Amino acid sequence: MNRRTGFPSAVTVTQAASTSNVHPRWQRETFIGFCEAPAVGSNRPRRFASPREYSALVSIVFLGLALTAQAQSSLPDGPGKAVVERMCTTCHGLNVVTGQRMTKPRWADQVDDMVSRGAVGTDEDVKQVVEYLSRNFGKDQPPDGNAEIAAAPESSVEQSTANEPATVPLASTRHGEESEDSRGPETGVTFERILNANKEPQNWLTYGGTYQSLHYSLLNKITPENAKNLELKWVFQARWLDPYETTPLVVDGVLYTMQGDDVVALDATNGRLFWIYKYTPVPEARLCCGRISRGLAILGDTLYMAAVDAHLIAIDAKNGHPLWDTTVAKTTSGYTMTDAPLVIKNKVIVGVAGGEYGIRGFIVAYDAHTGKEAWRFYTTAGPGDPGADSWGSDSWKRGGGSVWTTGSYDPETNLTYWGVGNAGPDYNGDVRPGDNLYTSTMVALDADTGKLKWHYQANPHNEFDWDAVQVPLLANITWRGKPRKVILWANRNGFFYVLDRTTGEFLLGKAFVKQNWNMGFDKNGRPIMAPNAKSSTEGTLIFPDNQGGTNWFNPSFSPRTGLFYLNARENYSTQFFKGPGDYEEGSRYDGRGHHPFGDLPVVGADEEKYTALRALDPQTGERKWEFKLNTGASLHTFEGWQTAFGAAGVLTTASDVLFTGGREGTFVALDARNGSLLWKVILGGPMIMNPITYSVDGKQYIAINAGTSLFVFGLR
Amino acid sequence: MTKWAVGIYLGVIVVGGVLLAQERSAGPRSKSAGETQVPGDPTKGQAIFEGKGECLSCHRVADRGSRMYPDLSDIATQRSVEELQKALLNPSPEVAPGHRLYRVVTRDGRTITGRLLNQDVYSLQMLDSKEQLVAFQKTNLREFNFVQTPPMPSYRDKLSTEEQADLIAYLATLRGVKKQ
Repeated sequence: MNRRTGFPSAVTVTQAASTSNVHPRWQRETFIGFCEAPAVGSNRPRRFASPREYSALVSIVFLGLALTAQAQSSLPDGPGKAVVERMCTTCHGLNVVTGQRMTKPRWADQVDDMVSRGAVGTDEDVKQVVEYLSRNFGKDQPPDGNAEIAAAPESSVEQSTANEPATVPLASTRHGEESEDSRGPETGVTFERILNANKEPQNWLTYGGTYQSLHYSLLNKITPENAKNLELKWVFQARWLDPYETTPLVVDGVLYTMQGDDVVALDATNGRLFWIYKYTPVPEARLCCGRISRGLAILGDTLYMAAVDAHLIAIDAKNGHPLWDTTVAKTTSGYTMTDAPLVIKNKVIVGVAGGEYGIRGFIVAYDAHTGKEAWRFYTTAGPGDPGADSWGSDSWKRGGGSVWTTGSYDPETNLTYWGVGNAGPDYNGDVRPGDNLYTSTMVALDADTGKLKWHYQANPHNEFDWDAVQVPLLANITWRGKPRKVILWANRNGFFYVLDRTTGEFLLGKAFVKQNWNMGFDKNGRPIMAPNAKSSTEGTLIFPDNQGGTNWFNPSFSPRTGLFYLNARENYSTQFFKGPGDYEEGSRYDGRGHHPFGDLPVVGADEEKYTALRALDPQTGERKWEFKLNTGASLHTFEGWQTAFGAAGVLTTASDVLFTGGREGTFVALDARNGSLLWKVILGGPMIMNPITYSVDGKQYIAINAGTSLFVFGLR
Repeated sequence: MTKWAVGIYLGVIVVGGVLLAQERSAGPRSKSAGETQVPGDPTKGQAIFEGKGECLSCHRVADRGSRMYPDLSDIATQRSVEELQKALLNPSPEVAPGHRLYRVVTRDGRTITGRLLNQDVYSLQMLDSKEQLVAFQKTNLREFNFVQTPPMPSYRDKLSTEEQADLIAYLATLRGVKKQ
């Protein structure tokens, strides 16, 4: 350090020893020294005298140029900008400057203070800095949001130069309604970005990939020809032993996922941790099926998590700090939450679970900034609601109707579509006479108000635990010669449906697995039940079983092939025994009978049962081909039925590659056109999550949970 | 007085002092600011925090302010009133290790400064000065290390005594997220 001028005599940097709380004096590092206080007697150097000082100046200039390049897009143009960038950014970021509004005398004091702490510049530099800051960040200047900020670049599939971290400049897009406070424009993932998620296929911005939930990606680096070259890139081992059902989000090179109710932010290229948010739900949380979390939502720079103790929590996506925590429902009454929230405009929407505990289900929207409730739709119609006459006496109060997977959204109609779970008690419909609206139903709600626009009930008065929570896929297709906006929906009851998503009109219902309960549909799509297709004290054999012909994991639709893909469970059946329907708050309330071979015995030979990836023609529901994933006889399963009966969701890409997996632990890539096997890897644990794809720096990745870990693959 | 008596007197003083210090250090823990009745007006204190004090230019509370320096959202559960006063009026000239700024220089000459969040043998993860999460492979870096970080300034001369009290009263209300 040259004590006369305050400039360093050399620039020496060594690697920091660690990030532990060891005092800097004990670490092997050398300060660059730009911010050290200048020599006594002179804090405004006029000129440099020695060669060493000149070499130091060159270093400073290069460093200043680099910092200037970095900072250029953050400051308004004008005289003095370069000086500000040079003097101010050597010690701190520009946000410390741009976030302030002060009078000129106050800026002058501030700059003097910074010089006393080591900012280096001539008297003329200081004068220019004060003038610039006063002019651009004076007391009468508007907040940052209206300053000239570089616009977000055109989205493209390919990322920029190698090793350049994928970051998004500050955006200045507002979304939703004006907030009452002067928060300024949103940064990060705006509503507009999610609306146009297809324009940035390198990211996975919402649970379903896009609001249409097609699980179809425009990424095409991995092809049927090179899929055989896929290799493992990294693994995240979640410290979690319950079924791992979380679908991650990926935003600009950062992957957000969960382990239980903890949230983690990972480098999407290598799985290294940025931060972790730890959450412990209350011990009295009622968990029918394990401590499950299916994913997150993001809006702006805020993540949203639905915790199993029925709390909705907002978390800062940059540092993992909680922002607000809203109690959605009472856990002691049996409520829980396992779905990934859905953000629409300025609201975050979730459904509640607990259908086996006599809840009254609902879908609820909260203000994304404050966590205050905006609207609520009850999934069991009560007095005064349309459909209230579908419940005998007061059975609606405990009628179930849980909502535990994430819905879809159509901006053209402003409708959000959600599947609703089974009625309660599950296996005894005697205590709840009537159709039991809106259980086992697809509902279309106004996204702003939550008002019901239409509904389609797949199973009126169902006694087989057939939740209708399967994700609605929104597609614009040519339906029997005419363009039509449809919902493609594969239901637990073993039927594939096509509905008009504007009106709810029933267009098609076709079985995709063996079934014996349905004898057809009337003109409105109401199922015609087979005789005696109801739960009974002596037991009734029904195909498919209570876990269904398919379950909650996402299907996919490829606009390229025109095919609908799902994981189907073939030859599974259950004998449904009816038991008493006695309600006690917070206790199991499913009305099941008891049988010596088990409460819900699954009959039939194991080797006849299997799970397969099936491709259906949406025009007819006919099967085009299938690929076997699991056999019923396999020992490869974890304890617990969730993993015993589950399978992965399906992902398709614009290069006609399909990814899926099953409970036997084999992850496969298939040709989406014909089902031929392109690649497989045995991961050793059941897959019951939706695979996703993303890219960073032009490299495409595929992510899938298996067992208790997240595996990420890419091309060699 | 004999030298023996002097020695005994001195010994008593020393031992007594040691015992007294031990008793004080073994006393009850300091109450956090959130547990203490604090004079001052927290509403005025918040206005100072967000206005005259310009605290948000460096600190963060809930979803407002800078993420580059300590988050104060639950500071009342972490510090006593005395500690808050000391930090405000007589701050330490040295920045705590976990709050130091970090700088990397890439092979193509870009310099990124920010907070170091994590690192391992091969990579490091940061929150840069634009508050974006960024990650680097160390093999792609020319330099990477901690840099001298300006400590917090003293507010002794910037705020009146009453304003200082109001600001402390506001900080004493910051107990983190409440379940609503």
